[in-house]
Amino acid sequence: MTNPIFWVGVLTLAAIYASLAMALNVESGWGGMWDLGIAGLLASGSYCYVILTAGDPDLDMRFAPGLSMWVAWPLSALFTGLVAFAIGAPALRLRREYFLITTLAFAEIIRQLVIIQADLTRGTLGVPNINRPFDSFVTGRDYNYVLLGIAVAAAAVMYVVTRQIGISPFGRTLRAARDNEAVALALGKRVNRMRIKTFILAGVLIGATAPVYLFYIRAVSPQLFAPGITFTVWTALVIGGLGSIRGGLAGAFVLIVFTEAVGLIEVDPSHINILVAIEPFLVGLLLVLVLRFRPDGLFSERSAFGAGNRPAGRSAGDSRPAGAAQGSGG
Amino acid sequence: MKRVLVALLAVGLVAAAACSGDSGDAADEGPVKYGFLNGQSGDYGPWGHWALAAAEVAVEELNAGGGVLGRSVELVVEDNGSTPEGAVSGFAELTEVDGIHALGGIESDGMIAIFDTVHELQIPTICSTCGTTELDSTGGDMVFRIIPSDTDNGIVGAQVARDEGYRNVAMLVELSEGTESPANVFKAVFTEQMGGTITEDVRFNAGETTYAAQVAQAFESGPDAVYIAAGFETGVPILNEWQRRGYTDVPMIFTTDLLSPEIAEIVSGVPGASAIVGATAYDTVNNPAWDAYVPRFEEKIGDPPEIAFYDAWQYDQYIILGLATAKAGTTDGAAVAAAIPEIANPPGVEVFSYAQGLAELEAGNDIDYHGTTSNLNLNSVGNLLSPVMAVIHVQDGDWAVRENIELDPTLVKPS
Amino acid sequence: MQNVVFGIVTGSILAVATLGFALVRQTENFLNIAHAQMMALGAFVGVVLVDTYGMNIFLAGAITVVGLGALGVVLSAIFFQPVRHQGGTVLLFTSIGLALMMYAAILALFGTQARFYPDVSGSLHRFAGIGIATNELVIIGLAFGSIAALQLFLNSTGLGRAIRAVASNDDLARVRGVPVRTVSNTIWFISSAFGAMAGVMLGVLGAVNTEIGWHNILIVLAAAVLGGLRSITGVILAGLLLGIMMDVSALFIPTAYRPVVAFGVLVAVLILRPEGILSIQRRKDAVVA
Repeated sequence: MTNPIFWVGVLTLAAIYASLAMALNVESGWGGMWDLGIAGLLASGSYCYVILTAGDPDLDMRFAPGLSMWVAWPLSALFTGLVAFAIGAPALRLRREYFLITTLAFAEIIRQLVIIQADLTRGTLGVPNINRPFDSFVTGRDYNYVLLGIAVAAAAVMYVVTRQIGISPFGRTLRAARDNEAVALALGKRVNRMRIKTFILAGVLIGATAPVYLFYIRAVSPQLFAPGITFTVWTALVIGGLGSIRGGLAGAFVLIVFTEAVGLIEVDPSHINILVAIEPFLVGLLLVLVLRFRPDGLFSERSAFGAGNRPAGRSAGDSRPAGAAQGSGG
Repeated sequence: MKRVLVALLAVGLVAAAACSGDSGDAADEGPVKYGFLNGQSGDYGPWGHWALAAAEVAVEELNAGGGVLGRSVELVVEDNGSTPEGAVSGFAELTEVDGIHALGGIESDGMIAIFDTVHELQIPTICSTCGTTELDSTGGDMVFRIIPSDTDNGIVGAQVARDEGYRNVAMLVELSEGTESPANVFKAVFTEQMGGTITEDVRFNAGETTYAAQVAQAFESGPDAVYIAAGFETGVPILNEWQRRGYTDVPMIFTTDLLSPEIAEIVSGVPGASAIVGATAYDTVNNPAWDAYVPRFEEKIGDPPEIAFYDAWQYDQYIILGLATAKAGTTDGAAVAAAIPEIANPPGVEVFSYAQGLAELEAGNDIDYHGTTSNLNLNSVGNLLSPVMAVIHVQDGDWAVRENIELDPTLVKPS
Repeated sequence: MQNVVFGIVTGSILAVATLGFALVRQTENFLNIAHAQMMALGAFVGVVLVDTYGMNIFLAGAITVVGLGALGVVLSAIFFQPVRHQGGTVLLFTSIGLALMMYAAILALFGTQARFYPDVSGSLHRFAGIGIATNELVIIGLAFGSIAALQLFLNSTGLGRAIRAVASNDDLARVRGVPVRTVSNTIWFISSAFGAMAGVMLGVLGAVNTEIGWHNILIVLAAAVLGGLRSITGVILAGLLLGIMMDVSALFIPTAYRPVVAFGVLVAVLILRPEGILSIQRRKDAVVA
């Protein structure tokens, strides 16, 4: 048996990805908005937190108010919500792939701006020594347990919040509008307002998770927010079950634990090519196999809400990416 | 919902309960384990092959010299995928699962991410490829850097520009930490301390389809010389452009990454090739450590060592760790870290290999290890004290040292 | 003007790369993320044939294009055919899984060292003050030649017309007795072959490394969507436009902003003309309000 600290770290990372996947599920699973801009929202929340808490003059940042992390944390969530609004307002007029590529483009724009605005963000240099909660009380290896506690608590809160949204009338309408354009048309403009609300909400939830991710990494740099992280969150959600309440939770734990366990495979350094290829190969294979034999993921939306919830069964047409379906004219 | 919450709680509790054994501190028997955490895939992947080969040459030397503390040495290789997240989880695996005693191989961004954890876990760490200016003023307890800082590289670039008599310089800079850092220092020193002019400062991203427009912008701005800070992969298309568009009469100053064989090949046949220089800490002339290293590396990989691939630094770090562990007489992290400056700095008998150093240590003498790339004398924050800088140019189709210079002490790091 | 030439070179490669991607999107109705790994594979196979086996670049390119075209057909049969009835979501994520597996194969087979096509740049020609290298001329020529050949194939052969029928209405085509399986195989062959060709072109102009696929998928996605998902001509124009825009913008805006410019324009175009630059299906397809 290996040292538990390693698995504590793995579970921490899994809990963080679980939070992100559950937040994504609200907008993409239920709202039908295919957001490929997770990395951008995560970057917004992360840099907001880092800049607000920065106080060290050695860092040479133009704006470093040195706020307490307990103030900066909620502000980061709110700021990310604002960013989501700025992206969503124009992007939500688009649907399907058009929405998807627009959110992806916005995420890349945010990352490039972080790189270019170096006097504010320290650009490609990044910011070290992230402030972490309770680190004056618990130090060293033991802090890993504190961090696991924070990440698990965050995931639990995320689960409760997203579950409430899922079973609320709001969530039901959201899903109905996603599945049935006639319903959406009948609801008219309310659907548009509902979608932007959902998009902002997902932004707030992702922004609230961002500091936890930084507690884990302990430093921030623009590379953290390359599109890869968006795809990892999506992969977790798809494996777990897009649209199901616990899909993101289960998928993230399966994916991250699987990935890290694969990393434990020992290969002689003379076969370094094989060593580096094992992980992407097996993660790819896992994704392919899950989709082949459980196309709805480990937990299906149907099992989460009962069979009668979706008006028609799954058809090829209705699982296509949709940004916003036809709503009112306007 | 309750079930899920309970499950979540259980995960935390089980993990907490499992915390009986206190750490991954390796036992006092079995091999001495040195971690090699490095981007074997991802953006640093092209360097990975060379880095690993050099590390293996070093560990083979340690084992050929009877091992460390009479135990064999094992190199534990972990790929960080060239990302900070990969560095964090890879470091956790090396320390908690493999139980390494010391670490090498890591790059700047990964080093910054694991810096605090390295100190908490007391894992002596040598950074053989981090130029980051972030380490200019921190380190020296647990983290040591045996490569020149990007600050030094930027200053020496400006010094070369001054000495060659360039007044107007255009810059072509790839947007990454390792290329922007020296470029920014270069720009500040060249303009503020030498009164030089930057005719154009072109920044670009790696992975572009073509670089023709950026190259034209820099070279068409009428510079005396062009300063290029880029990785060798982007360097190749840039220099193909340079050659094809007929800019070959404009001299160039390169950062370390560009001193690769592919680039030497491109520029060597061109009339203006003699006016292309790079400069870095690379003290290989009349250096027994270097002379002994070159054939072994070549045997391992089939190619000679290359400056741009940083392999020699990867080699040096494990010889240092071996000697420091031997000096400390234990694998205890704090003791080994404390021994690193002792074996690297004077006073002591100058030694150039592990076997030589070990013999002197066993004879009860202090040692001053000189590596393949520098005398490895370290200052109080674990940086190279006063590296000998080599001006490097193309000769017979490959890079060669033209002359050694000292950093002009009147040039200072810009604030 | 020089920058326009640079842009045309960039844009030609982008058009070739995007065409294969868009063809699959139009006929199989999903975004094939693995397409960019096919480009990476093309760059590697080409460089191995030229550099290691000393093959002529054109012969190596032809072998790569045909070979990977065939590989594309095989991969589609193994990976996409069994989940085809599940729809776009499952296909899209299956393609991400396949992309990871292809990436792993590239790492395992070719290693992580960067490779370079040996001196294939050729000399520089000057026309009215504008310089263009032989290999750039060849790339532009090949790009437009193959795109024209594809258009000819789609417009004047029975199989081509069948593909267009599937592209405009899959179900109807099925009912009318179009040989769906043959059509699908042909599409995968063409798509993969174009991807491989773009990979070789990228490699010739730059460097070949294992990350080349991931670096290019975003811009290919952007060009495909910008071009409108129903129009081949639109895709070609979008590729050229993005290429030219990125290179010409260098004259006005710091080059550091190049990706921001590309994506900024993409967002602006989508919001102003959501159907893409050429499509006629404006309100129906793309937008709500």
